[in-house]
Amino acid sequence: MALLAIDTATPTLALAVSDDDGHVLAAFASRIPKMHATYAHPLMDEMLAVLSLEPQDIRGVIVGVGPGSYTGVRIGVTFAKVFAYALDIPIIGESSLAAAAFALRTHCGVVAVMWDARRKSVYSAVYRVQYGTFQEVLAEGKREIAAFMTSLAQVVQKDEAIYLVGDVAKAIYEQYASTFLLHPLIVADETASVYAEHLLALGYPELCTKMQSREVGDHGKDAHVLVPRYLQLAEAEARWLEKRRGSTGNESE
Amino acid sequence: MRWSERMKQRYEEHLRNGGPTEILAIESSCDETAAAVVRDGRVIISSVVASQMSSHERFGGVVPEVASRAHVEQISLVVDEALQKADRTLSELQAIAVTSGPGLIGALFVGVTAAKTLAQVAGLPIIDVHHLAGHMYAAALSDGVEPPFIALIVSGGHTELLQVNAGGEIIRLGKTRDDAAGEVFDKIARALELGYPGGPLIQQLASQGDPEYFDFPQAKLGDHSFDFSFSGLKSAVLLHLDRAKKSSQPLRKADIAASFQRAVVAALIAKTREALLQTGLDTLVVAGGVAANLALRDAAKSLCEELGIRLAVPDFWLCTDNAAMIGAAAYMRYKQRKLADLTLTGRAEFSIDQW
Repeated sequence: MALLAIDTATPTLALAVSDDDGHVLAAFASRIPKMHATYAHPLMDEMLAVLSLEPQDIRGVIVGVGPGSYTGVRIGVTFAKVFAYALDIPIIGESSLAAAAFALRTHCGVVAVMWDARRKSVYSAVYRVQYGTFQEVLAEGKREIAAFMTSLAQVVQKDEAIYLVGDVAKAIYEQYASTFLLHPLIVADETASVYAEHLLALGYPELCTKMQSREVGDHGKDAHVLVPRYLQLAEAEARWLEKRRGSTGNESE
Repeated sequence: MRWSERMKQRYEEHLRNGGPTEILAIESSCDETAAAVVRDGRVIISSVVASQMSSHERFGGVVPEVASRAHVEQISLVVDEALQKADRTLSELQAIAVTSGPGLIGALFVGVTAAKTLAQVAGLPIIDVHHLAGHMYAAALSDGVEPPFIALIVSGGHTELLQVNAGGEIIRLGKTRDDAAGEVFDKIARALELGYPGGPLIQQLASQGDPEYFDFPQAKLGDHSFDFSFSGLKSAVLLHLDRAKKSSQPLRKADIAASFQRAVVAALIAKTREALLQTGLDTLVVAGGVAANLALRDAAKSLCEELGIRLAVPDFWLCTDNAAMIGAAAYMRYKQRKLADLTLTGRAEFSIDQW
């Protein structure tokens, strides 16, 4: 009996399988961009074979629902929801940003995750970690970099260490080091990456609750409502809404 | 046991013992999320299509990102409904088939990922299907037709003339060099301010018009080419509209629609006729979304009557995108041992002779 975690929201394709107690049995990560659709299944197959497991041995799924690459995150979410549906097992979605920060949960300070969302903006969130405890202090959102730095300055406490995580972390470190002179400022990861063992650890308590609280046979239905968290509308949709707002505004004048 | 071993055991056993072949098929290449269960490439046990048309209407065309998002929301529901309506579980089926291309890449990924997951879980073979082959084999569902034949496939994204040999081997004789026929219908419908999608709207308006009123030009691409071209025709119609709007004359919209439609149909039929004569094949399949057009169906019928050959056209509801046609196309490949594996991926560009 085992649990599965998968994240494809970043250029890292990440898979992990644990036992029922959440102990990782195998974890895999590759950074070959744009190959998630090709390799997610063969790697999963390989991992199960190494562990002498069948897909039917998986009893619960945790999936990173983004934010991140639209196309990327859809691959993991589709994989996970169809997997859970077909096996009629519980599934939960977790923030990919939170999963990235969760890698540093045994540190002490705040973890600021920032992934490039183009046009000087980032998918971002801040978490406070304290020797194993993990708490969100700035909710995930798509923000302009400058605005994110202002928010970060507001939530960080006196002398607290700041861990910067993400593909723009290095650049931001160089630009903002002087703003945070009174804090230890550390670039902890220069990539936008989620490793599935962290995603698994993050989602494990919620998945356990769900597995214990529901009747068997109900679970597959959860898969149907699971969707990626894009944090923004499709461009065409945003433009359309903008236009419509404009035209209704004129009508009311 | 690895997927390949589990799959092979079942597959070989089924080929040895015989019995019906029931395939769950998935299609997500454009703006329909669809799943179906098809027996022996001929019998539709269930077919479910979740259309996004109303969602794209406001944009005047399909928006890829909007389509991909809708596919993720729909995919497991559509598969579930197809299985429930067919009263089948995954393990009772023989294979999973999926459209791998051509189409919108983000949209294709959703269907292909779902299909691979289902195959992996259930230990079933995966069959990849070319979207246009699907359209072509939709005729098998309505008519039982089998290769060899000439196929004219006309849709919003494609215009192709194919020779299909007895074993299912496909030779592309011609294709459009610019716009697809269905695409031109959409563009002219927009210029006539009819709405989207253009095909049915133009057909409706054309029924009240005189198809001989305007003499719009047809492309001439040399005697030996089976290729099509519709950009010249499109420009001529748009230019006419432009001029007519600037002058004070009444806009003869119905006559424009009828004359435009006649020109498109004439171009399609002329090349098809040449292909039939040159190959000597005695069956014509007309398929794809534009095969629902009555003028095209009538012209194909006349052509086949004149040449004394058989015409196979899918039922109207099977002309637009659906998964039953993907299940029909997959059957022959199942029999021929042409299986895909877990590395199957979506292909935005995918020439049918590479299938």
